[in-house]
Amino acid sequence: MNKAIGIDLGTTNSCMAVLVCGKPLIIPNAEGERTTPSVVAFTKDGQRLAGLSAKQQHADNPQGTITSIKRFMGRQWDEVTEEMAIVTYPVGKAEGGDVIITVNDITYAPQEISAIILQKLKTDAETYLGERVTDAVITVPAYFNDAQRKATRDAGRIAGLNVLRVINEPTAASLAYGLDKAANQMILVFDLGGGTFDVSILELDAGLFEVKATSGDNHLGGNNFDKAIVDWLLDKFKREQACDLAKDPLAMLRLYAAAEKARIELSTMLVTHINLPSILTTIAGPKHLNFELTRTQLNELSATLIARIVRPVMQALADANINAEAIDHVVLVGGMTRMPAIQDKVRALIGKEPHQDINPDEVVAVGAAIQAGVLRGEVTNVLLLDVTSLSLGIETKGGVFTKLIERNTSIPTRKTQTFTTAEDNQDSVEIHVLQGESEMAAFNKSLGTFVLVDLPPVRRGLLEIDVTFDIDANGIITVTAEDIVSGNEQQIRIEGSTSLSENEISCMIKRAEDYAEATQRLRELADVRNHAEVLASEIELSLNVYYTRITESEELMIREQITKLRKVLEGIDIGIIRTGIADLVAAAQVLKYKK
Amino acid sequence: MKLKRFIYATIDNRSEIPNLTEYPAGGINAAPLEVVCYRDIAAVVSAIDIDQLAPHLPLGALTEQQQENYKAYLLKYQQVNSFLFEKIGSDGMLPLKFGFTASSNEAVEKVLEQAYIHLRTCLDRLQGTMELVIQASWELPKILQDIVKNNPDLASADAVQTGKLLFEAAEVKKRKLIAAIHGKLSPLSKDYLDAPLKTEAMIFNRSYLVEKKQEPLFDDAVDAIATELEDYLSFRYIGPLPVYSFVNIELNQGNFSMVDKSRKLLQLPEKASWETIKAAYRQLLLANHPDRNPDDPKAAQRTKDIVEAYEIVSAYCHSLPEFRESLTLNEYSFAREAVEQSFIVDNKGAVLARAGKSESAV
Repeated sequence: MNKAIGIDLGTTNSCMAVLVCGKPLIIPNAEGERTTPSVVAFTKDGQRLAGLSAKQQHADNPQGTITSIKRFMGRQWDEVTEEMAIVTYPVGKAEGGDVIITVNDITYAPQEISAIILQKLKTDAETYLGERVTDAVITVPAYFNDAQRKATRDAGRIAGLNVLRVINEPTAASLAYGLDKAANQMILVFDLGGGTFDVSILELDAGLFEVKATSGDNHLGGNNFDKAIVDWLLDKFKREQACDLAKDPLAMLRLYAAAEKARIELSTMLVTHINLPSILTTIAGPKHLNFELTRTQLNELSATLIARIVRPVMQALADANINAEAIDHVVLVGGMTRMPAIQDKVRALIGKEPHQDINPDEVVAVGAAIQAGVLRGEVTNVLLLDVTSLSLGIETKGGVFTKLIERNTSIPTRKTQTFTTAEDNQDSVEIHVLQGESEMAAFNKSLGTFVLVDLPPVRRGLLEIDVTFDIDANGIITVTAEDIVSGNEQQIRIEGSTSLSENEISCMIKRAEDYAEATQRLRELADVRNHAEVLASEIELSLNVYYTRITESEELMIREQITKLRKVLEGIDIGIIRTGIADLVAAAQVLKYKK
Repeated sequence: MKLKRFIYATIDNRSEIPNLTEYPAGGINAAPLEVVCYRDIAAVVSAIDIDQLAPHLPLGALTEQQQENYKAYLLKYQQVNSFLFEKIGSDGMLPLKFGFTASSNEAVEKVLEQAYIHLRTCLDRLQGTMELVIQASWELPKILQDIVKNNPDLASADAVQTGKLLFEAAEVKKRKLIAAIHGKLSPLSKDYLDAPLKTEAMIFNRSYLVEKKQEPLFDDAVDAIATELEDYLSFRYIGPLPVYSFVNIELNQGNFSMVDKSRKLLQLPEKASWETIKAAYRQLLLANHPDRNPDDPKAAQRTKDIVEAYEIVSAYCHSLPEFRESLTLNEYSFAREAVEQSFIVDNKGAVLARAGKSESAV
């Protein structure tokens, strides 16, 4: 049986894990690192890079280096103006309003970029494990809506993975912690990552992980803290040097990198230096940036951001119907939770010392690997009962959002509600399916629309139309509307409004496979060239020693084949090089046997 | 004819209860207003014929006469609450959702007893606050002209394309206007909630929960916005009102057949402790969840039924006063009499109504 892996597909870094003999193990990538930067790059000479190599050339290739793609997954162009401002590559709008990214005249959907990262992880895992990897559990922030989850699933498919399930990051983290614990306990998971903030409360008893509530902020993460530092640097530089760095994209890139570094350093140190020589070239010569930033200053700069974590925590407690005292364990997830001010805030809110014994960068991937084990029947003492993190419902008269499934409802679930018509002799109804918490349909995320037709002509208010929402364990939503009198029924499986069609996905799978094939071919070509070069030199060497054993014409023949092979190995046709090798070997036979 | 008690509002019993005879018009159908007390809270009620109200039916399913009654009752309900709001002020009253009834004054007292914690917390939370409503409507033709003026290249696009672009630009403009209004008012308010848009031209209809001491500042802010955006929008400013939109407590009378069916599905006896209920639920889940039974196509349906049954039983138990007093020790009765006397109190999300809704989406 092939291996199944757990993948934490993060905004800035990704991580993967596998169960070996029931124990979770982090899989290092080809570079030997336990996490992989979620960065993809397309170089000017047509190369495609993923991970560390892509990250390292970011400053030289800002337009072709794709970072934080997770922020664009499953979202419409108009929803991401804030995100667009902090990336260095152009973000375009596709026909249907989806986000597209164009590099070197080729357009990519965000799903495809994520797939490139997943493909690298898959290949690296296969190399490390020495066997094929087909199945995976991928994690997403608890606050991802249906379209964003669907996009993540599609990215997995494009990368050639069978996605067993998409699960919530905080839930995955709790699986990693709770594995050996059987007693009844309440766990609060606090997950502050690169781009998103999630809070989940779970009750664990006899191996059943029951999610009680989830809450969060889809726009809060390490990037926001970096921006606060960058804004401070810009302002200080402007005041001291009277120069605005904001207009220089390259300078901004260096500022962001320095801000991230400073923020990480301040988790362990009390003061750090931000030193960027020649940040700007002016007529008067180069200008340097050299400032000191203390932990206290950083805490002041990020005070409003830190304050934003309170509301989701209180909301989760209120939704779970418990007080902070009822929490037995607090689990910290995400690199941002290393920041002392964040830890202090968590302590103050919950009154418990948070757990940090599992690396916050790795804990989600470990949990995903465990869930993969559960779904394949390899782990039998754990069962995860997750919830829908956003309410689901339909639009009713006056643009009102009527909820059928409240947020934090355990899944799988099924709910039916009866509706009626608003006008006399109304012959059809439109069912507009939405997800969100606003009372107004217009402010929620539209998931799809379908129409129930051929209704019998009756007075308004008399017809009974049953609308049923069904969510399976995979979180896939099916909505059915039925006119009870006639039995007339319509159904849609929600595919996510910002999702790709089956056709587009097949094209992308093809493109990804082609690329994998091309990579494979390049590897083969390199092998063959290498072989040919070594062979040519070896034979040339023995010819110099043993030329006396053969006739002059034979020698000439061999030398001719060597020259020919050296010429063809410059080309890219593996077949021709192989023929060249075979010809040379045949010609050189005389060297071996002629005494 | 079936007489019931209609509940208008809960009031704080610690402050002086106003003399209800000062309101000669009375309640619905001129029935005299009465006060029912429980501990330090009280309810303002009057008699009503329940057949005329039919609060359980959707508006569309009512007869014309019932619809007329409904409108008249709603108006009366608002008048009584405005009177109470004026007399008591924002400190000590909480309007209840329209349509709460109980069978007798004793039953009203029971409602107060069972929902005491929710009502008390809600009263405290909303103390000294008021509801202010801002409605804004735009003149679309004028906005469109504005867009065309600012985007000369629009004229060169073909007709269909122009229409699409104009529509998109108008949507962007709308979002910007909404954000501009909300950005100014949000810091001065404790909470907000959207109401349905009443006309085609209306783009904003939001109730703000504002502290009494913030009211003058809020007034100024509204004035400033109205002046700033007068070229684009016409405003309506309504209030101060009792905090109708921010009371999220819902009461439903216990439905015996539903609770009974769920109890049986969870294989529970007629009396069970909370621990027994949870253990039964977990056992059933572990045995039936589709993740554990990948080859059984019926596992998913069984799990859905189990989850739903547990939700119903759990809501019933949570509604009982003894549940809140002692979490684990009591045994709960699922007998018909006990269930029918219970009220299921639902205040999910009452404290914070809209977490996770990102501000930028507005």
